[in-house]
Amino acid sequence: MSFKTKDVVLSEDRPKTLLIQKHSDFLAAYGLNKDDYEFCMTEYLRMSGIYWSLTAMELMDQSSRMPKEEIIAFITSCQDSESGGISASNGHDPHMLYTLSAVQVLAMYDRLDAIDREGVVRFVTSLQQEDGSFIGDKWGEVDTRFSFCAVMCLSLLHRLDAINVNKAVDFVLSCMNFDGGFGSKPGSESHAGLIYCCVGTLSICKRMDALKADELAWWLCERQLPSGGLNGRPEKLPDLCYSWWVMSSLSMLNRIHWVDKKNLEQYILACQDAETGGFSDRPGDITDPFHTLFGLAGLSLLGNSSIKSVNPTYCMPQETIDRLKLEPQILYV
Amino acid sequence: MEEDKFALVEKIIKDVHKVLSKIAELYAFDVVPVDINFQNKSPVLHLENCLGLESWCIKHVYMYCYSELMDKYSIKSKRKTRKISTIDSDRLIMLLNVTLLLNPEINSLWNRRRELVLGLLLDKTVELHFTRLVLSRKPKCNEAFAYRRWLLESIFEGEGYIRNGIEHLMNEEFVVCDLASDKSPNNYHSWNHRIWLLNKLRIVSTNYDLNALYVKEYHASEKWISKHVSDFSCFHYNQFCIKNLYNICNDSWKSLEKTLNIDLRKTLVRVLASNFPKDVTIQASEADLVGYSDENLINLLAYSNKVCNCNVDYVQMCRRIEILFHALILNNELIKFYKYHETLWYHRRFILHEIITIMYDHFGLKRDNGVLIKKNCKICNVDEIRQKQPKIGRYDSNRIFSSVLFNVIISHERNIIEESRKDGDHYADRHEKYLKFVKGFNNVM
Repeated sequence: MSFKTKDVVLSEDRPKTLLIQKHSDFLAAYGLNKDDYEFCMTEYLRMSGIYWSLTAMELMDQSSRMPKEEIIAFITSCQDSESGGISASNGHDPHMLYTLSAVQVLAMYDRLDAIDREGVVRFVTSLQQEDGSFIGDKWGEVDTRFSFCAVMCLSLLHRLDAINVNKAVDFVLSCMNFDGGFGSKPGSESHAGLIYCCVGTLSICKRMDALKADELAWWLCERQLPSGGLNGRPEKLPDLCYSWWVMSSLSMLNRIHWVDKKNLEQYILACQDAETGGFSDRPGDITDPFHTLFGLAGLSLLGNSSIKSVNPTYCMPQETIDRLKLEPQILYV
Repeated sequence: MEEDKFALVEKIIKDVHKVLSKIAELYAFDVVPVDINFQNKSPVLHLENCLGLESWCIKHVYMYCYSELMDKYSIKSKRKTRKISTIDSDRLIMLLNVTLLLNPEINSLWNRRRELVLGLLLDKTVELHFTRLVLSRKPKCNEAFAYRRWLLESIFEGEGYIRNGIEHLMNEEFVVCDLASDKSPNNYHSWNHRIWLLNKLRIVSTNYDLNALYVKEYHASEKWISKHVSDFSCFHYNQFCIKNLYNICNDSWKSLEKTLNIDLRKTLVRVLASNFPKDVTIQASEADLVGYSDENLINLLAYSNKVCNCNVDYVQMCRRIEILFHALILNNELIKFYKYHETLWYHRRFILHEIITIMYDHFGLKRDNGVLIKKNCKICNVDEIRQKQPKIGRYDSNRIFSSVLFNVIISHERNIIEESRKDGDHYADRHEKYLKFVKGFNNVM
């Protein structure tokens, strides 16, 4: 008789301490070779890549190692003058996802003046639909991720008034399932990443009261596996990025103490690569900036004092959110 | 050297193009691991309706095509020239084909195809074939599914689609979903696409028999879940299918029973009879219950005073309960046979949630933030003038929790929890805790 829980086993020789300098070196060197095949393969999400790396560096207080002026000039060059939206890289089409990443980066640098802000507002506003949902670009794909991008982006610009917030909230709530979770569209399966997007939207729009808090938190806590790691849906393997999606949602729900923090910390630390630096999805896999950010941000939520405090709604340093005088809602029941 | 390399890449692009001209026959694409080009022959493979590309050439081909696309055909360079000529478009299509087969996540390149379709330079049907090929290698690629949705939307909007056409289109779509769901377990996007498709059909079609489709899809989903007990995505789809059955017409209900080869009322009655509360004197036997009218059965299970002025649809209520108990029995069997599957227990939560919701509805209540409150009828609004959503008294909740239906459910749940616990299934304990503390039955079970 055996339990066949899909999980990983943490080995004895895994990293048990946080290797900050290694991660900083890893990110500083990442993507320097622009003729690289890998660089070309991932160019379609370059803007988000910059956001992941910069935020991770900020959280480690080492953002001075990033080429600030070069990044700002790059973002300026990626804004499409016609639609106002921002693309992942030069030659790509403007999209909600990369518009948000660009705005987040500029907000951290306190350089939102480097883009046409009204253009961004125009772009985001143009993508809201009759039912309150948002499409990612003019081609019409609806997703709750885009709702979150829209409200986060506009709130960073202090222009949430430009859209119909009530309708945006109503649409997100129409995606709620019986288990309290959310999917990408009405009727779609609950998924921890999309739950983060929907809870985040309600946090920014200050409508956390509309959640089934206990049911949702219960579901989120059940994502924890014996290894300490979290998955994003039932019977899936643990993945480090869910340390962020699940834990940030639980933080907004004010129920972070419902998971075994010590076990989760062990899992996150085990996902570091002691040689190359950076974090990966599971112990022993290849590291990347995406998982590096979510590893560090997860540890920050768990209270690790060598990392700056991260805001659970925005996934940006709390000091940036404070400087912008933003107050995303946290549930207090 | 460089010249030779470029010539080789050009030849590869052309060879791929040649194979793709028979796109309707192709059903799979993949990169074939071959480290070096030791035989000096073309790395483009075309065998048994499959397209393959040897891995040694991938980097060169990809970099070459991607760079040209970015230099000559990106959104900015296009604005300068504005119009794409036919010669240009042929070249553009060749480059897009190779690049998207190798890296289908680049949304901007799918947009180039959208523009070509709008300019009538690409055919929608051919495009559906192309995405199928992409999905054969990357079954979780949401950009490819999103492009399919866009194509289907524009086909539905156009006047071109005829009565017979839509059936074929749908079947093709289900096949693509089946393949992607089969190739990649827990495939969020393929199941989501399937849900989108059915919802879309509800809006656009007037002559498609939706009830028959709901029956067919429910049956298909039941087969899927029985074979994939740790794939929650297909269980989620099964839940969608169950809800679609709630309102089907009489004929379709009969055809459902025929398709499943089961008498749903008998299944329900059997569970009821073997779980009746022992301290209550219910005289009805299984055989008696089969003869009950819908109204009598509901009154036995959950007698309630009139909640509002609306008539209770006893037929529909019975059917809902029947299909949910059928799902519950299937779930029992899967849990007993496969054991220790979180997915199965999660699915059980859904079934119970639905039954309990029907019950609360029937008593004119709903659960809000862990408390039972009165629910105003949306149709006749009798409670409109009264104070909004007062908490209900002990009397009301006692009536629910002492109803036969509720007691049958609790007794049935106790049994499976006990049995599974003996099997060492720790999800049984979780299930009990869930019912007590999340569903709020702590004091009544």
